[in-house]
Amino acid sequence: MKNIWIIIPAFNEAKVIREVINEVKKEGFKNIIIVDDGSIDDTYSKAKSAGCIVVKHIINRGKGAATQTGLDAAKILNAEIVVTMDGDGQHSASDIKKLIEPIINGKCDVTLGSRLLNKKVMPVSRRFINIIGNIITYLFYGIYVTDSQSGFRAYSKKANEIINTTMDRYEFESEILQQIKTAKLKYIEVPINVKYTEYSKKKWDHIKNFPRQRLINGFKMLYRMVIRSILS
Amino acid sequence: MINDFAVYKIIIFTICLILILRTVFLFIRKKKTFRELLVAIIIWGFFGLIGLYPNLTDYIAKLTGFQLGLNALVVASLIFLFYNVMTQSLKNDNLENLITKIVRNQALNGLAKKRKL
Repeated sequence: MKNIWIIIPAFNEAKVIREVINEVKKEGFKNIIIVDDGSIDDTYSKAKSAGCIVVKHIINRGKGAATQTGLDAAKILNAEIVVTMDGDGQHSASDIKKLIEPIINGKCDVTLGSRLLNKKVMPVSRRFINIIGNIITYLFYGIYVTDSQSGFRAYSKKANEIINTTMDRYEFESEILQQIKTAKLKYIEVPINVKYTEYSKKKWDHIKNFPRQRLINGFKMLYRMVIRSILS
Repeated sequence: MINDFAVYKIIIFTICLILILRTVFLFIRKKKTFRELLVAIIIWGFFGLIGLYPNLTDYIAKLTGFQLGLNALVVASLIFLFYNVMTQSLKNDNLENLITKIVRNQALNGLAKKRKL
């Protein structure tokens, strides 16, 4: 068995983090790194008591920054395969095996979990927003995948050595795709399940006008990508 | 149009040309992709053209249905503001990156030490 590490970035996920960890462990993956991205709840202590390696950002830096910290931690731990998944429980740990299999068999360097390849799992509105994200990613980075914003991915050691993102927020998912293309890493898209749990729904419901917020975030993301593209 | 010599036209055009050339050099040094070079040429080229042919704005205004032409001062100010906002955003972005690096190093420090032991 290869040295496989599961990275879970988490920000204020105390209510579900233990459940997520247990689900991953049930699938036979004991090496788990939780990146506590400056949570103000009990995420850190709950993850620690569940027996994981926990690295903590002293302040919140965003999902992209937390994921990159997890990837760096995996390098320190000499990981041969790294899997990243969300900390709110929306990803199914049972999909991890599907993600790592092509890497173990040497078919590719990166597997990208795709919610859009699994037509049952995503509401039409989210599907539409995702397609727009895919088109923007293609226009800026020249790589088209069916789910450019998925956080459920697996990387070989080679890929992890190469990938080094600088974008701290959600646009890092697209930045990774750019680096995959630039480094000519082989990638495969794998259909994954998404669980829209009561918890994840409530988490977003408390944000007033959620669709509007998503749209604003989308524009912010586009703005940062434009600036990076023409000035950096 | 270009025969109506004006200093501001040369200044605006030169600024845009410098920004394009800067991107070309970065592209040659492989610090920019071809796509980024293309975006820079389109954006700064557009502003450079407006600087050189201000009457283009009248044409665009008519084309888009506005009956009001923009004068060169407004265009130059817009270019300056646009560039300024973008460079400030970039500086802000770089600062954010620096903060993230510090936070990350601090977070991984303990792990790296344990690994060495």
